[in-house]
Amino acid sequence: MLVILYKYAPSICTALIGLAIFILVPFQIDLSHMRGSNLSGVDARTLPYLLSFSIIFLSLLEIILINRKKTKESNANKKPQYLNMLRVCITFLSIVLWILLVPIIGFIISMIILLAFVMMVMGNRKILQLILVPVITSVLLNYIFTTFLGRTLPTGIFF
Amino acid sequence: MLLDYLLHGMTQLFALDMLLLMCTGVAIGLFIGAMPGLTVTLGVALVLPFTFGLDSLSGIILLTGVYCAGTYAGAITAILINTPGTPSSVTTAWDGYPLTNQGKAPDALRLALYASVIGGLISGVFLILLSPQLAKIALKFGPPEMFALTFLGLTVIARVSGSSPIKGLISAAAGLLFATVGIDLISGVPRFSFGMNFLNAGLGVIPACIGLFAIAEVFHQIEKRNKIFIPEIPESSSKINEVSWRLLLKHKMLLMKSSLIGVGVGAIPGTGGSVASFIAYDEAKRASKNPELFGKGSYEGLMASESSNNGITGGSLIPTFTLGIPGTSSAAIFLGALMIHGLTPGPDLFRFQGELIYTVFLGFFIVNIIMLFLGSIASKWAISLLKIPNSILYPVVLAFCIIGGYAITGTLTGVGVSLFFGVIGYLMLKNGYPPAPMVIALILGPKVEESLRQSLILSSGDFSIFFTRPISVFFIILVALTTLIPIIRNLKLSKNFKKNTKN
Repeated sequence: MLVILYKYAPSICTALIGLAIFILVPFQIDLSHMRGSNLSGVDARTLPYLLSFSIIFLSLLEIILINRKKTKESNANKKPQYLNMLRVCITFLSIVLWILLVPIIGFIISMIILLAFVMMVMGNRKILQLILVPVITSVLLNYIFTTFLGRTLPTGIFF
Repeated sequence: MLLDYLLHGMTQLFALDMLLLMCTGVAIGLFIGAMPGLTVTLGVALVLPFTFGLDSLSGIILLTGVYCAGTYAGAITAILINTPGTPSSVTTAWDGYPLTNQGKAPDALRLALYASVIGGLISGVFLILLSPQLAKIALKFGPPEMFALTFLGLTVIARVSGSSPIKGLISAAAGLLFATVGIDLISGVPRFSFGMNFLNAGLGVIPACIGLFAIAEVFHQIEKRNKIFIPEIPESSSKINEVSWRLLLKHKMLLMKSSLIGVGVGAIPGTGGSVASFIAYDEAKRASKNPELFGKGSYEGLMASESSNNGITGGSLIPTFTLGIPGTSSAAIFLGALMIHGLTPGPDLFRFQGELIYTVFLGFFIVNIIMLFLGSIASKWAISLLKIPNSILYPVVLAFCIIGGYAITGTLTGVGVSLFFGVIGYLMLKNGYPPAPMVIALILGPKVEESLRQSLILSSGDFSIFFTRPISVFFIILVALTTLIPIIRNLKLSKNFKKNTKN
């Protein structure tokens, strides 16, 4: 059962996403303020409706067409490596945290912390590299953007 | 007129700052292309935010350098360690690595560089000659033709990207849906803004590119945690320099033919470098007097692969500049760059920005010549570069992604959008959905919808407008063919499979 679910899961997910968007269209595209006749017969909702329907249709078609033999073979070879996927999740969460922290502690410090953390997640345990690479990258990027390209990067309570 | 533009371009491009910029672009492209896992598309996406502070010409020239050099540099690792730096260098590895094993690595590297430069220069000639002609034809296109053409571009891209055409189409449809986010330009109604003001301006093509190509790749590498195995490279055994201009002259027809294949394939949206190099390699093998040497260290195979590979660069920019339809995913980012710098790709670009566009074309040539010099230096340093551990390289790439996302909007929402697309791109990679159709659909989305609605306004809602104009009908027939044929073929295969399993 789990194997079957694993095989069809991506297509089922895309079909459900398509369905969710299809349902969301009237709530997210408010045409009540539109006045006058619509000459084209196509309004702001038409394309989203068409596209979400296409996604549902194509996903169902994909489910029908899935080649059993191929997926059986690939499933036999593919074993989900949860620890590695956890590393991806941790990296994702650390970027979210970076977005939240950067207005408080500023670009340079937050980027140093983020880089060192991601390096550790990727298995780097060399202290010198863990210090030098984040510091050099953050300072250099900050310098290039602010000095050469005239862009301002977020500054926090320190700098 | 053309000569005036080119002379004007020369005066601009031979300034010291422009030459330095081109060298920088080429150097970045060489570095990114030579690192397995880092693609040219990723390189162009990462460098794009650095062009915001530059004027439009400098920005586009910098990206041209990254694009051309990045496309070539995939050959370096393909030859030295049998690991293609870019997907289009797969065929290069077939003959390049056996040559390395025979102790001819320096010859193979030099030949790959020469062939790439020749391919790039030939494609540059076609870029200059064909683009204005195509732009003139495109001027005659009305909204129905434009809709049919953009729709064709999208279906071709979806059809040829990845292994499953249906997944490609889903990816393109999702990209078009993402393109609808924001204020509808015709009615002024906000769409899918979920009450968040920043979404009224749309999701943004560049944060999406950074997410789909770069952040997704970082996540992918974090998951894989692969270490690059660098084999022992045999010392050069060739006493005399086997690769000379005489060898290139001897195979001038092969180089020309392969470059033309690259240009032709590149001009078709979505087909990409790998398709061109496979076709060129196959054709070279068919026409060769020594087909038995192919795969065992054939100079002809190496030349065919590399010249077609770089022939793509100019070819893919032809529809990008003239029609606003990108030939490859890297060209799609180019398109985004043009828009960011206030230029509208399409026939008007040649009418109103002629000086700039021909200067870019001329820059394309100079970049290829610079690549000839920097490429030979890079090939000597390539092995040292490969020793950079992934645990340093990818966190640094991530830093570039984050700062790129921030630089576009000047707010943290850009980083959020990049991260959102990074997650989507990662999930797509894991499940075999190609990201290229999504990016190209995101770029073409507004044009598709606008031309559709304009056409229907013209016809008072009558869809027959698309079937009564010859050019539009021609494109629609092509759309139907490219969409239906693979689906019917898949259905037949599925039926046959069921029959076989029953028996």
